[in-house]
This record gives sequence, C-alpha cells and structure tokens, in this order.
Amino acid sequence: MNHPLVHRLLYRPLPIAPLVTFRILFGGLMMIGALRFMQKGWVERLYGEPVFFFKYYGFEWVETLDVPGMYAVYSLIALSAAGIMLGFAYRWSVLLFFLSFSYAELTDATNYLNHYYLVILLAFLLFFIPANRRFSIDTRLRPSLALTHVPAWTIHLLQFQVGIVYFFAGFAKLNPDWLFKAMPLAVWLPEKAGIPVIGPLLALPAAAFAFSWFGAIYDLTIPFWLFIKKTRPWAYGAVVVFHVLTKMLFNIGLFPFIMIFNTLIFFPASTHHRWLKYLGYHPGEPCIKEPTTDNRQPTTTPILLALHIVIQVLIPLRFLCYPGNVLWTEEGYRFAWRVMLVEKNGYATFFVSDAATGRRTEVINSRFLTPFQEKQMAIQPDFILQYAHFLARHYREREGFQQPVVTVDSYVALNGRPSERFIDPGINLADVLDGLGTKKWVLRY
Amino acid sequence: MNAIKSLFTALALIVLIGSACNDNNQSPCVSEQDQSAVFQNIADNLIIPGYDDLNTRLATLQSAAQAFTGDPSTQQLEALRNAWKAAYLSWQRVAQYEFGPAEERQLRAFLNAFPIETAAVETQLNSGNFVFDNAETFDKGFPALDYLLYGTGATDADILARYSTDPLAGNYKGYLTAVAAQMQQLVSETLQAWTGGFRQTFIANTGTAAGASLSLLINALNEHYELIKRDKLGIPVGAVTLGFPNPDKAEAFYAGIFAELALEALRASESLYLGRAVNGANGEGLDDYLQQVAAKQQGQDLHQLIVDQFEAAIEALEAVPDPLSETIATDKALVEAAYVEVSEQVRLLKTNLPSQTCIAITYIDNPSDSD
Repeated sequence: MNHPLVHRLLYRPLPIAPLVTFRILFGGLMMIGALRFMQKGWVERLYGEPVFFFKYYGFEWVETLDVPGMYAVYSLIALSAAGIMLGFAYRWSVLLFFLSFSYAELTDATNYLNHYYLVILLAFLLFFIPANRRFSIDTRLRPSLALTHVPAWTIHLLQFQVGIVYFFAGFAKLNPDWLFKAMPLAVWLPEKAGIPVIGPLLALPAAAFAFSWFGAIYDLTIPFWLFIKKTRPWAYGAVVVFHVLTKMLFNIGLFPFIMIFNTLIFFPASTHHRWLKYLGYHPGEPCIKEPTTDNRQPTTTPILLALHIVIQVLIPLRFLCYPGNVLWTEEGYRFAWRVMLVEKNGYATFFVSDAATGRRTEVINSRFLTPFQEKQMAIQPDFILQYAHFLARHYREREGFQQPVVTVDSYVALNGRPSERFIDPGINLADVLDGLGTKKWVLRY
Repeated sequence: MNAIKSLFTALALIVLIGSACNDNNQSPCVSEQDQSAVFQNIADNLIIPGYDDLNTRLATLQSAAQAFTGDPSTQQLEALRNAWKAAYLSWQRVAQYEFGPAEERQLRAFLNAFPIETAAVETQLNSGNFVFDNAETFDKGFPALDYLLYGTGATDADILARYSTDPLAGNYKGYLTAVAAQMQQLVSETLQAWTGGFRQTFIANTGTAAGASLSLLINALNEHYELIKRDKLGIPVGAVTLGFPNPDKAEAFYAGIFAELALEALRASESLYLGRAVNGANGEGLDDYLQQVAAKQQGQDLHQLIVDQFEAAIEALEAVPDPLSETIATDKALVEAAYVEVSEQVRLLKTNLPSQTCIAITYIDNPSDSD
C-alpha cells in the first residue's frame, strides 16, 4: 500500500475544483429531474395507476407508498439534491438523496433505467467524497471546513465510475446483432426519418451500421481519450455531439445531460477554475492542507476502493455465469450498462388452474398491470415469475383456488427475428422460486 | 499509446469472432413494397367504402326508426331490426380503423361500447333527457339499440307495447331516435374527414415512425384484434373468467347474434391484413409488405402462418351457432375451440408482424424515459 505510485494515485493533493463542479451540476440536474418527474404527472402514472409492483431480487419487501407519499419522496429527492448542489448540510443531503432516490427506484423495477442506477452509485460515492469543502454553504457557515485540495482518489474514483459506464456500454455492444445487423438501430433510426436535415440520412441502411460501429468504438474508448491530456478536448467535443445526437433521436430523458456534465470530472482543475470563476469561485491560497498526514486512512481507504472497483467490474460481467444469450434470457442483464441494445416484442398469456377443483382460467393482464408493466413483464423472466406468484396468491386468496397452478404461454421477438417461445409452458411457475441461479424454465435461444 | 493499440487489437479480434458466429445477414426493415400503394388500396377499397356503406346503412336505420316510431307495428319493428343488423355488420368491417378521424371521435366508444348497462339506459329513459356525450358510459350506440329492440320485453308484443301503450312510450321513441341520430352524425363526420383530406395525408404518410400510416394500421389491427379476442369471445365464453360463461356480456346479447358479428370482425381483420376489398378483390395489403421482408419461422413463411391462422380461426368461428346462451348449454367445446384459434393469432400479429416490419407497438405508450 505504500508503494510510491499507489500513494501518488491515491493521495497526491489535487485542487478541489473538479469536485465542486461535479457537486453543483449533479445536484442541480437531479433537482430538475425530480421536479420534472412530478411536473410530468409521472408520480400518478407510475405509482397511482398500477395495483401491482415489480421488485428487484432481494428487495421484494420494499413497499410502494400511495401517490401523496410518493410525491413526498420526490420532493425529498428534489430538496436533498438542492442541498448537494449548494453544499448545504452536505453529508445529510447526500445520505437523504441516496436513500430517497434508491427507494423511489426500488418501488417498481418496471422503471429500471441504467442511468438511475448510475445516479444511485454516484450518490453513494459522493457520501465519502468531500465535495462540499469549498464554495458551499457549509464552508460559509463553518469556514474551518474549507479545503483547497483533496486527495487524488476522490477525483479518480468518480472518473472510474463514469468511465466504467462507457466501457461496459461499449463492451455490451460487441454482439453480432449490434455489429452485423445494426440491430436495434436499424429499427429505431428509420423511425426518426422525419427530423430535419439528418432525417433522410437516418433511413439509409448504412446509417444504422455507421451509428452502431461508431457508438461501440466511442463507448469502449472514450474514457481513455478523456483521460489522456492531448486528446481530452476532442474527446469532450465528441461527448457533447454524441449525447446531443442521442437526445434528439431517443426518448432518454436526462441521461445525455448526466454524461455531458459528469465527464467534466476528467478535466484538470485549471479548466474548472476558468469556468467556475464566473460563479465567483476562487481557488484559494496555495497553502496545501496535506490530507495524507491523516494516518487513519491509508489502510482502509485503498482496500475499500479496490473492493468497489472489483465489484463494479464483476457485476457487469456476471452474465458470463449464465448459459445462453444475455439479450434473450436477461440473466445478468441489469446493472451492466446495457443501454439501447434490444428491440423486443413480447406476448405472455397466463393460465391459472386449480388442481383441486379442475377450474382453469386465462388471465386478463390488464386487470392487474398497466400496459407499460405488461409490456416490460412479457420480455423479462424475473417479472414473469413475480407476476405468476402474484397471480397464484390472488387466485388463492380472492378466487378460492386451493392449489393454483400458473403456466404461461409466452413469445418474444428479439431484434427483428420472428418470435420464439420464451418460457417453458409446462412449468408451474407458482412452484418456482426466484434465485440467482440459472433460470432453467427460460427456454434457451 | 500501447494500451490503446492493444485495445484496438482486442476489438478487432472480438469483431472477427463475432462475424464467425453470425447466423444470417439479411438487412432488417427493408421492404421493396411501395407503402403508398398499400395505403391507397386500404383507404380507397376498404376504409372509405366501409364508412360509406356504414353511413348509408345508418341512414336507412334512421328512416326505419322514424317509420317505426310513427307506426310501432310488427312489420316496422322487423324492418328496423333488419336495418340495425345490417348496420351492425357493416360497423364490424370498419371498427378496427380507430385512428385519425375515427380516433378523434372515439367512434368505438360511442358506437359499440358493450355490454350495455341497462340501469344506465333506464335512468335516461325515465328522465327523458338523452345525453350521450360521455365516451365512458355504456348506454348508447348499437348495444343500446340491441336492448331497445330486443331486450325491453319477453315477447315482441311486450316490446311493441313499450313504444305504444307504455307510459314512457314517448321516451322510448325519443331514445331510439337520439341514439340512431348520434351514430349517423359521428359516422358521416368520419367519412367526410376521410374523403376531405385525411385520405391524402394517410397515403402520403410513409415510413416506419410512430404515427406513420404503416404504424397506424399495424397498431390498429393489433389493438382491435385483441378486443375481438377478449370482449367478443374471451369474456362471454368464460375463458378469462374462471371458465364461468357470461353470455349476457356478449355483443348483441339480446338479439343473440354474437357469432355472426364476431365472424364479420374477424374477416375484417383478415381483409386489412390481405388488403382485400369489400368486393373480394385482393389488392396490396400488409401481407405484401411482410412478404417483401420474406421472414420465416422454423422454415415456414410468416405470411403463410398468419393466413393459415386466420383461416383456422374463421373456420372455427363459423362452426359456432348463435345464440351464445344456447350454444354454451349444448356445445360449449365449439365456442372454446373458436376462442383458442382466435387467440393463437395474437402472438403472430403482435410479435412477428411488428418485429418484421420494424413497427413499434405504440398503443402501449411508455410513460417515462427509456435508455
């Protein structure tokens, strides 16, 4: 741990400015995001309309609040995000933001988005990163808190986290569908043929291939270009162009802004100083408070950092433990930065029968699920299973079934292929327990 | 820079491995079929003649209703019932085109929300105020007439009495005419909108974007087909209600012609898919577009699978005699078999047709962002 290189990488004092920028933009954007979410009426639509909510494995116990309750949660998200932005009661704000945002995401897995997961990870990291120690309300109230420099790991950690998103997003694109069929962009781009100037180009088959290949190479390599000083300005230009383009083409909400803002963490303090001064920021006296004199940290910090890095690398790779195509089985699909990879059409018809009475019924999914939930359920095995368990419970408790047997007739069309049967129709899903092991009842492609 | 070099080497390697594994190389979403030709055929030979026919039959229905209210006799009742049935069958042929002018007017909700809520009808009858401006109520359109002409008495004599000796006879007559007038009004507006400009817009609106005509047609076909499956068959037959049949929830329950209507709707779905005109001429339809993509499933032509399934479903439904309440008592298996055949088609239409033609199912909208 005391190798000079490691020491330099972790503890070399760096000006705090990149963290200040990061904190302000992250907090500001998250605040706007939460306000936008409420203003669009999504609280009613996503929490008021459904009667059943899908959960993440291990978080089945999370209860969804009613609409006023969820409004309170989103208000808390907006408030705590404002706290992060202003650097006010920073650690409490970060903690509150992390908890309220994570809770909102855990309430219904239907709404999983990779960039929400990224937000949760960043909030988690910010808790350990002193981004409030300059140019904040906290330092205004307690000037003794103010720092001019922070240990290098605080900045490198955020760079790593942002970089890993790109790298694995690119890694996930290295599949035959994406590279050699330009799928699903070959479906999505022609849909945008109506937009001005570039629209007609998007309808050309070559455009989908160009976008696919450029996108894969961009994602895989951009963290490195951003890290290298010589290529950084060009790389950042590419970041802006890339994300503005995706914003124009796809309904991806705040994601482009998150990435355009986050990638500023790769720039040296001098760049941040140049822009932050317009907000009245001063880098401070060059008297450096040397944080490495703190002897409590060196043993635990490197270990925790290494642990985080290993976990962040292993989670996206866990799909390798499952047989079959991850795009089809979706085992190990989430939390792996698989962005915009599949165009799936699914159709799942559930049957519930009672072994005791011989009664049998088909289920009208719209009785229990919103159209969007139904659409998501039909293509994700763990949702199919959760829903089947819900049906078993419903028919046992409400319809008087003694031993409900739940089966599903399900078909999925993946990336422009004809549909194939998805789930073993002979399996009684009511008896199947969810787990992290291979889902043998998912038919392999 | 060495790191970057080895990264590119790794990338190139992965690409090579990937291309070795690649199964087939057909480019998706590219069909040689001229979209406008399909839309023109469907507009000029299916949709507009369909609305025109419905409009004419509703005019006949209205005059029959006038004749009947002026002279509530057995003959006039018979004539009115025939006019109603002819119009109802005609409606089945255009019910699926719920986009553009029809969607604006919520035609399906206003013309054919079933099962009828007799309590709501009775309330209106007693009040004498006939207001049908709420799309959510089940008290108007064809189902209201079904009740008024077949369900308001046990015998024809009882029904005729409603329009002659009943203290509320005036209200019965008023209800009848008000319902018929509203239907005619909405359909004639829809027809005018189609001939007056929407036709051109529709034919010119090519591409695969949401809201383009191909997307409208495929989504309309799917959405309505699922309604045929669930409302016309699944619920009445009991397939989705624990096996308990609900003949009273069938379309045209009082007249007892549910199978006849469902069959007409199913044939209309097939016609839209094939581009088959009212006169039977098979023009350019969704099938021609699909065949250009030449998709296969397990060695079978997807187009052929869809055509075969339409035939199987129609054949199974043709075997079901009306009225449903009797068929369920005597030969329930026939109705259940028809339901299975009709259901089989959903996945072909809902997963294969859109994925092959590169159309997104948009009648399910995404309420949030995506990534």
